[in-house]
Amino acid sequence: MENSMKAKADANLFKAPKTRKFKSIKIVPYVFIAPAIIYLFIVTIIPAIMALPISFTDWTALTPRMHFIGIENYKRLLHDRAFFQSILVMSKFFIAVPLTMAAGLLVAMLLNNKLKGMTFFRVVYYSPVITSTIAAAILFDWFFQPTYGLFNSILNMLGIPGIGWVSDAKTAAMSVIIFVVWKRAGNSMLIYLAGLQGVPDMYMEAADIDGASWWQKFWYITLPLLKPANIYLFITGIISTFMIFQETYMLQGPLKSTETVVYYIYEKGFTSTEMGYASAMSFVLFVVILIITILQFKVMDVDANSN
Amino acid sequence: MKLKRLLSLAICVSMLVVVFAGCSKKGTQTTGTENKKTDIIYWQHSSQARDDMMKTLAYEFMQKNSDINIKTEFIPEEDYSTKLTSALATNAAPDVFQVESGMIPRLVKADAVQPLDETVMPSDKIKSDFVPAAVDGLQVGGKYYGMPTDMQTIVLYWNKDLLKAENLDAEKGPQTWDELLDWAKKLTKVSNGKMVQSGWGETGYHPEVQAFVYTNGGKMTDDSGKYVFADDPKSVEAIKFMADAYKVSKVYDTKFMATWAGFRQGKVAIMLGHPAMFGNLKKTAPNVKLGIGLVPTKDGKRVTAVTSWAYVASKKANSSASTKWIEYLSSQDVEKRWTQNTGELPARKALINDADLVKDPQVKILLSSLNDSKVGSLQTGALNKIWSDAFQKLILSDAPFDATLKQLQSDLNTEASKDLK
Amino acid sequence: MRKNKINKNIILYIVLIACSLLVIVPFAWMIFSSFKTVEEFYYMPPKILPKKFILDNFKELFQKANFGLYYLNSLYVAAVQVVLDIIIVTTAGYGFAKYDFKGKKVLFTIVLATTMVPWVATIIPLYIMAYKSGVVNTYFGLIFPGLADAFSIFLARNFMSTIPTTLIEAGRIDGAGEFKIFRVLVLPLTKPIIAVLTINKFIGSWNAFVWPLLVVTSEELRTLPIAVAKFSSQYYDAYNLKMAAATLAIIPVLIVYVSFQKYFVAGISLTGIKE
Repeated sequence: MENSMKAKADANLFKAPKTRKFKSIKIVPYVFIAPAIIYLFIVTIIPAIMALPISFTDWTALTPRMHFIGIENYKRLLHDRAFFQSILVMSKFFIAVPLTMAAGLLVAMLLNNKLKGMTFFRVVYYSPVITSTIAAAILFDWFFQPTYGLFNSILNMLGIPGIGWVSDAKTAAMSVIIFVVWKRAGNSMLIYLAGLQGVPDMYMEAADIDGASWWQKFWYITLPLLKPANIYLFITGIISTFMIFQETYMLQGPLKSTETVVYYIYEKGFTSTEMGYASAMSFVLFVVILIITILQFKVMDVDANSN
Repeated sequence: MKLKRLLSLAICVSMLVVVFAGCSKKGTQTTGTENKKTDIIYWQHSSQARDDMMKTLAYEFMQKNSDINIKTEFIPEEDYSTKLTSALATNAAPDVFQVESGMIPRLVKADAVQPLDETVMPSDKIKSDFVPAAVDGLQVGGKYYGMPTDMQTIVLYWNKDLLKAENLDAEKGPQTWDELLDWAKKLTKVSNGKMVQSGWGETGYHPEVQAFVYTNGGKMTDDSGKYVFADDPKSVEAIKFMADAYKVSKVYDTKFMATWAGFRQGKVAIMLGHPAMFGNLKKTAPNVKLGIGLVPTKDGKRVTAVTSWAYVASKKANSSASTKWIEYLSSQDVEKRWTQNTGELPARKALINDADLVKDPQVKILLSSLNDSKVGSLQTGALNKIWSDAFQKLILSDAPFDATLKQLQSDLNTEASKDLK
Repeated sequence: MRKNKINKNIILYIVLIACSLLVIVPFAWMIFSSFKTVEEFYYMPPKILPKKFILDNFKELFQKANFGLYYLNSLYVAAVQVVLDIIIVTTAGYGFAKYDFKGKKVLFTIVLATTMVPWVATIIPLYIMAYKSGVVNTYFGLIFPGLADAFSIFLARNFMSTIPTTLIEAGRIDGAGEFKIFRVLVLPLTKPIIAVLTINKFIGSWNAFVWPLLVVTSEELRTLPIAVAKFSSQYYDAYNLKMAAATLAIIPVLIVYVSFQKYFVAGISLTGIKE
């Protein structure tokens, strides 16, 4: 890739300026995005296109053969109570997105200074992200133990009676959300740290001279400049929430209290070997996510324009 | 700066070269018949003990059968089905592999597996040599499609010290249903409204419930494989007994501790479980004085439930070679060594009282559970999930018992109907 | 005035340390657990420190479980994926950020849409493709599906859009070609983003489980997460080995992170404005 780009760049140097600028600018963007588009096409789009017809079959994936059954799967989906319940469960998890972002922002702002030891803290706060979800989930499973688990022990020390955490259907989802936030906040922190670098000291100094308060500086200077970060984190956060799987696979609450959509799809596809049905559910989910994301873009773009 | 870029470019290019060079198949996939051997690719779901044994067995088999080449691949157990499904979906399946025995009807229907070669393993030999409960579930249309592995029954475990503390017979353990419930209540301790000791950690794991259903003379399915337990009073009685133990007698609380973790810590007194837990407990809870017994009797009868996996051969495998390999793995000598090394039960009748195996009196008890056994239903991931979700409803929510049970039966039948032709 | 500053700093440190406990405790637990025997995992109440610091778990990992091989495999795969990821993502990010072209919105939506299809639906078709192309159980098959993802492209695009167009125009006026502008003017300014991409991709690659599980059948190609999965079976969870493996697995990732996070040190500005 680099080689061909280099060659192209070299070739351009020998062309006459005017024609080169005109011609190359036309196709250049396509060249830039080509590797990514081709790659995604092969690795995601083609498999997705293959999966679509599968959703109209009764495929069990136990054999390459499948039979066309029309929209049976989709019709079945409309009556599938468990599917809708899993969507309900998953919507509880959306709260994890603003929580993660807020936690990340808080830490990033605390760390955005030149004091000694910041590197240490940066490593510390990011370490949950680095850890494998499986290992971290095992740890949290122990911490969540109602009797003798770390969290309840701490609550008891503060004189508060312990709660059931994952073993109680009422608090299971909340517990997994705590785990998710713990695990992912570091990622937001990283993005915000990178974003905060783009806040020129000049602006802050000018604001200080004008006598602005900490909150005013934050609200009027920092936050607007963090807009790209916020948009990115929010949109990808919502999409990632739809895709939560490992966390709920490892920490399962009773009475389906942590059964999210992808988990349900996985169960149907691999455990019950109903791949056709699982594909149909996947596409419905895809459309839902797509619509929500497009809506988000519209909402956020409106803001950008008014700025 | 320029040098750095050049350097990173060089590294990048060389990596790409290596990647593409690595295009050639690495790894021990079969390439066909270089030396007139038949290749059998075998997938084993992995555990340290099994893996070591399997390597030895493959070697020995190849010594005895010079025309067959066994290639073993060890797959992590938790995600075995994901991998197997993908392979089956592409016809990339191994020649011999393991499946939950409940999956056999569906695999047969999908035409993904073949019956055992009669000339290598005749059906009547299978019927006569093996415990009926071990092989009954492995036949479809009169033909055997696999041989049992990872055989498990249900037995009773208890903590001798906890029983002694209540003046209960710690050597014999609870013998009847009434004793079980009675002792469980005595062994459950609550302090300040919170449980501090559980008498019987029962959560409705299906083989356990089935063992009780069978013991009570009930049945899970009729002869055609349709689930009928909700309409059978003896089955309902057994299931209610277990559900009420939790709900009414409150001998366990899911908010207390995980059942086995609690047992290991001496906080749960009695547990039903698989014989495989015996080896596990010796390692993970050496301080618990373990009592082992059979499923408690009802009216003098006891029947335990057998669940197992099976070795099966895929459709495209060489029939006689794959059956020979399966036959070897099920041979008496190999089964005996397998039991000794992995703690999994054998399936052959002759081994139940084998002198070497029964030297350990506790192992003797585990083996004897095979004598009164019946094959368990619900042996697929999907059925298991439907069952456990429903049982959770029974014990953790206020859902009405009869209605929930009937709904469960109906859901199970919907799922099972996908396998009946 | 000076006292005020010192007070502020002290408060800052206190808050940071307090919050970091939330993170350090689980982490320390994991590390200490690698020195425990398997029974200690079942102690109630759980104790954070092992009875004795034994190295048996690590020995078993390397001697019996072939850990060294998996480690090297994971390193190799991660390295290749990181490099290729950076190339693919920065070029695409730049293309989407700094150019206007026909179909830009549609293409970008398609790019983002690739993250919205649950892996459950696409994993088997992808496997089928890999199988039919003959790349199952090869390094190529293992590496290729993990090269880039749309989230990173989104991120790169967002950040690159803050690069002043004036800079690029200046390059054009000077007569530089588009690719030269990208390489010489733009890339150096995107160090923070490249650092983020490196860290993210390395972690993603390092912890990837599902695809390697499916595509690798022979021992020689196995990566770390598969090794850890092997330690659980139906009846026995080798928690001690799992924690030891998890602890060892963190080391390269930590190294990558520590090395690259310095690009976020206060003072390096994305836009080149002098501090």
